[in-house]
Amino acid sequence: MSLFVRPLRKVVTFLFAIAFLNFCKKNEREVNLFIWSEYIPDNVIQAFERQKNIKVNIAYYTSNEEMLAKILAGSSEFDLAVPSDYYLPILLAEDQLQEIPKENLREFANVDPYFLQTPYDPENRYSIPYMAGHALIIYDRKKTKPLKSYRDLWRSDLRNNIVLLDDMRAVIGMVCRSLGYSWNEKDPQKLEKAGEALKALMPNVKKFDSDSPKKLLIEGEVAAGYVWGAEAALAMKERPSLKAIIPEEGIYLWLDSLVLLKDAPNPENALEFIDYVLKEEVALQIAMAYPYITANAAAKKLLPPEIVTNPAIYPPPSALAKGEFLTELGDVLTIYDRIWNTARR
Amino acid sequence: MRQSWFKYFLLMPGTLWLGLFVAFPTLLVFLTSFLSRNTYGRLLWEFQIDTYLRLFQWEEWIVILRSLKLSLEVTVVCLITGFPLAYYISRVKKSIQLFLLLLVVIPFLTSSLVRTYAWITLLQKEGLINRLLLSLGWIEEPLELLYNEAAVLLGMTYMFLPFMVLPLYAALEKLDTSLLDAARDLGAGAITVFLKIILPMSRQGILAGSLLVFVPSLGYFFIPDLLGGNRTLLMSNYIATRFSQARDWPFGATLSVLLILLTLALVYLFQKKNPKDNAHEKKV
Repeated sequence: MSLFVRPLRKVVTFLFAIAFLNFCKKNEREVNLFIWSEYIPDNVIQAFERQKNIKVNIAYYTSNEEMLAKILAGSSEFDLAVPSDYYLPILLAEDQLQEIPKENLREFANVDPYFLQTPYDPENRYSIPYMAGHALIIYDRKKTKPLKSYRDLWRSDLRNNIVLLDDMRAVIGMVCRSLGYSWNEKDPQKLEKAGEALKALMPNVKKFDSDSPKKLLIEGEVAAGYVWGAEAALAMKERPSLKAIIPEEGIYLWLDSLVLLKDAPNPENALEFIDYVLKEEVALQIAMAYPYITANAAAKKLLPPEIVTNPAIYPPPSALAKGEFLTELGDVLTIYDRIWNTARR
Repeated sequence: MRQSWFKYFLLMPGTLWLGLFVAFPTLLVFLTSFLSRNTYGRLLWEFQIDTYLRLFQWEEWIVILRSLKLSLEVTVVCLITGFPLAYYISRVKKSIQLFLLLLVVIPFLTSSLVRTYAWITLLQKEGLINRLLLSLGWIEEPLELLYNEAAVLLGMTYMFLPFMVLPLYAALEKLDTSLLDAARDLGAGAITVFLKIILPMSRQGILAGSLLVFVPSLGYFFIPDLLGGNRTLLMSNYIATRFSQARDWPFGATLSVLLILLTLALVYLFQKKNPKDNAHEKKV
């Protein structure tokens, strides 16, 4: 028996030590951040920890659904999350958010007014814009004639030669837009037409890929694609014959915002964190690290011109003016889901 | 008395493990399939069976049948390619047998995802195979080797071949070679020997291997996604999107229940066909 007891004693001592350390940790200031992977540079986190003496615990997610599921499951351990636009109304409807006292944010004025007054949080009571992006068309000049619009994706010479995002809302929205409807179309009859158009597009689609559509473009597997701007920017670097264009019908924009969760254990520290990433020089660091649109107007002014003039990263003002955000669709989502599945049956 | 107490004590860790990590989650899936949900996908404690009624719609079965067809194809191709290999391994010298078996198992040391990406590198338009054929002058235009059903079948067969070879080897290794000699002495040709002796005597291996390939291939979705272009729905990715973008956990759970029942039915059939399939009893 002693054969077991001796190691057991060590284990128990060890567990007590961990419990004690945890107890000590409780007195340390911390903030729990729930954020997209590859979305905040490590050196920004480290600098914040050093300056404010607040420890940052980070958990990552790779999709809005994953974020929503974990928050709805009642994990009250998170302070901050970074949902995309149309997930905000869901979090609000499920009573998962608390208001952010903007008057306590010294750096709020840095936020680009373009990203304020969004349809889902007009007064920005719950959300502080972090980063944005868009989807566009990219084609290989060596493989196909130029494309100008979404409509061109249906061209017969592109048979089995395009890559589309594996994203239901982005693709069906695009199909609707190509027919002259809204990115957030709710009319069932128009959606039926969009469903037929999507079916007609299927012979041209070689692959649905949201994670790394750039791979197919870089490897010359497809001649054109409807992909995230950031993916297009990276692909163009690798294969110079690729060209990104803003389609005539206009673009849709997504926007990820910092939100304060209802049961946040450390709301004060969370506010400190928001204020920190809103700082001009910090936002600049973040904007340099990832090819997305910074929602920080002050930082955008400091970015090198080759980044700001790249349409794959920063759409020109005319495109932004026509840009649309996606909104939550409620039960209409069932129709979207059916169209999406029918095309792939 | 003491002994029987000890027996249960020994059973405890395994029972606990299975209970916690198999029975309990399966029960949760069953429970979820009968719950309702709100627009945003949150589960509500209201009983419903609409999700089960949806299973009677033809369009749901298109997906299910396509998955079954793919798994069946994978099983058949694995059997056809795996049988000669297993037979050969079972006939060579013991020391070489061990080495060959090691070769069969070695791919498991690398992540299956990495191995699937390796296929992409080989098959893509500007990939190794196309470049080789182009430089040899055998083809003018690069072949479309990737993002079609053949690529999926190839990737799946590659992934599941060891699951077929190992049980087949186990069955064929026990085959008494004197029976084959006797058959030949009595004038049986190669085909007759194969059909009348080898095939019936390796039936258990064939059934076990087929089951080991068929069942897990039903739930594999990253190979169809990566090599097939993710253009057609399969049961596996259909279930996965029920939980994510459709926010419809109850229907996702219902499809999972259907998958579990299909699998159980197969295992039941397998055991009925093999009433004496109890290797341990023979040893005792």
